[in-house]
Amino acid sequence: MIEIQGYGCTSAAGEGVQRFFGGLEGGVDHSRAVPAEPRAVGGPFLACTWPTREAGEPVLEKLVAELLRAWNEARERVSLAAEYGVLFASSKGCLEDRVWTEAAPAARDTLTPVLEAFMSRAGLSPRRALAVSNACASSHAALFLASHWIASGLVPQVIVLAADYIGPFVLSGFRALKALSDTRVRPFAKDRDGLRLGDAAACVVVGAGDPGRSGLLLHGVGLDTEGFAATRPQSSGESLARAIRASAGALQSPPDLIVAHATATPANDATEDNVFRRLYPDGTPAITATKWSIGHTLGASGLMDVIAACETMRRGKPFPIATTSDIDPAFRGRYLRAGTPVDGAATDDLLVTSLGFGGVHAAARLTRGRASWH
Amino acid sequence: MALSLRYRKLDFLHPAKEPPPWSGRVDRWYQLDAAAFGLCELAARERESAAPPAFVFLASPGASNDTDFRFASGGASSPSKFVHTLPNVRGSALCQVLGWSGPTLCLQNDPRTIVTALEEACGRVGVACADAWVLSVAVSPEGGTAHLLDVAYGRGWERSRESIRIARERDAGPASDDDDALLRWLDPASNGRRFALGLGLFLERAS
Repeated sequence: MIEIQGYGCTSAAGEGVQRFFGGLEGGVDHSRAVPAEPRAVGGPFLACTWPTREAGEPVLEKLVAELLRAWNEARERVSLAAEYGVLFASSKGCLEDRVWTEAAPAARDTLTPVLEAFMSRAGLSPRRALAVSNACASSHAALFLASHWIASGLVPQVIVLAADYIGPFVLSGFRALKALSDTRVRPFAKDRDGLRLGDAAACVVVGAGDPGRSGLLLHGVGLDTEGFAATRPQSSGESLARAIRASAGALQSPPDLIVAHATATPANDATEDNVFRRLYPDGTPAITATKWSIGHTLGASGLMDVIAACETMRRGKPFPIATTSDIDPAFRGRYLRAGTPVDGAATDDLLVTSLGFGGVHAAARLTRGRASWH
Repeated sequence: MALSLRYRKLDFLHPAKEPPPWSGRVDRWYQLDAAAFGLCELAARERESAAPPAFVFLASPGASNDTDFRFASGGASSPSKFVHTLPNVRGSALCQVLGWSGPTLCLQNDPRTIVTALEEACGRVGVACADAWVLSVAVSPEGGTAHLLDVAYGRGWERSRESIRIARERDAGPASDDDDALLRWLDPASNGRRFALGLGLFLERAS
């Protein structure tokens, strides 16, 4: 049994889980206009950036500062074990600091320096620490590895960190792919037109669970990679379905609620709807999402969604996708959209899905333990 | 616990002058970056002789730095370059060549990325899966080198006359615990010879 012992985050909503979840409940879209980046293709853009961003600040320093904020919030509920591990999930780490100025490709990856700087600043000496880079499913991949470390007895506790920074490199790339929305992010809507990028740092501490104490349990994490295309999932969604089944383990019943990846791109949302309707033919669970509020936070998005799921379970009330009103008529999922009543909905068993470039698909299943958080 | 380690190394040229034999299996093979191309070359050879693994670790020092640099220095406007600016994306082409799907983890821990992935593979094999591949690729201006470290539980080493049991002696492993030392130590055993390995011992730092 793996327990979710504590969590914290920072995002475009500001510092802390309360601001993040308050925005989801209140229907707040945290997009803001960002001045044109001299190195990025195109002019000014809308993104869900940290309100504390300052022009010219080193990305490594910014990521470490935001990770420390997330860690400090999480540790309020956590007793650090004598032995523990640390995992850092990210898609690009501190790449923006150097990629525009270097004369040749650097030898060292751009994630490990962030992890090392964080551990130094936080005063952590883990038994094992490493970075995971499974694109936008990096957070789930880190949770998968953390679960294995705990289950195999390597360490009783793992600090899972995730962060990504939206700079000109990532912005230019998503613009080149024509994946960005020029309007509002409307997951599963008939007129959805793409995603918005967002900054985030998140921390979730997981550990070997005590059945009598646990409020929130990480029941299972599924991970799968398909060979189809570099950026888009196979529409049948077989790979995502395998990941969801793996996360369920012996659980036969469907979850109460799904926090979907829901980028609001045509291909992603269609694949998710297809998978949900096939896995739950008698009617899908209620489905919600977070990216309409804080943007697509890339490698951190999975951990942000897990935190949203934990808060939903703790508070006993889901949140809708506030920017979506008209669901794509081809879809069959039961989507919580603006105006959908959510009071009284069951929130004891949640599924969090994730998809990433490179054909990676992942799912995390969270269940409520016997006790509750206070 | 006894594990076997099979090591294969493959030097490759990139870009290709003509379609490789596996080109029909991979979506837009001609857009692959050097790292993905190299892994496909390696996987195509493995496909002929070895069963696909239960688990894959992608572990390349420098991650996707080479492609990141090319995308940025080329004006940051090419979608076909951008999609390869993540080190895990090469896993998609790998799956296509192998005709395989399954769990992959892309790890970074420079300068110990390969060593770390090997440690993780040793920790999974025999506990959570029967075997695991650690795949790594280093690119150069002309192409690069791809590496496969195939870790399996109790497979073959007991029977193989070629197997060498790595003892607990401190000088049995590589001279240091970074990737360069590991690859130098493995090099004489490339392409087919098998090593047996005691979990954890193999990776101890030698004084």
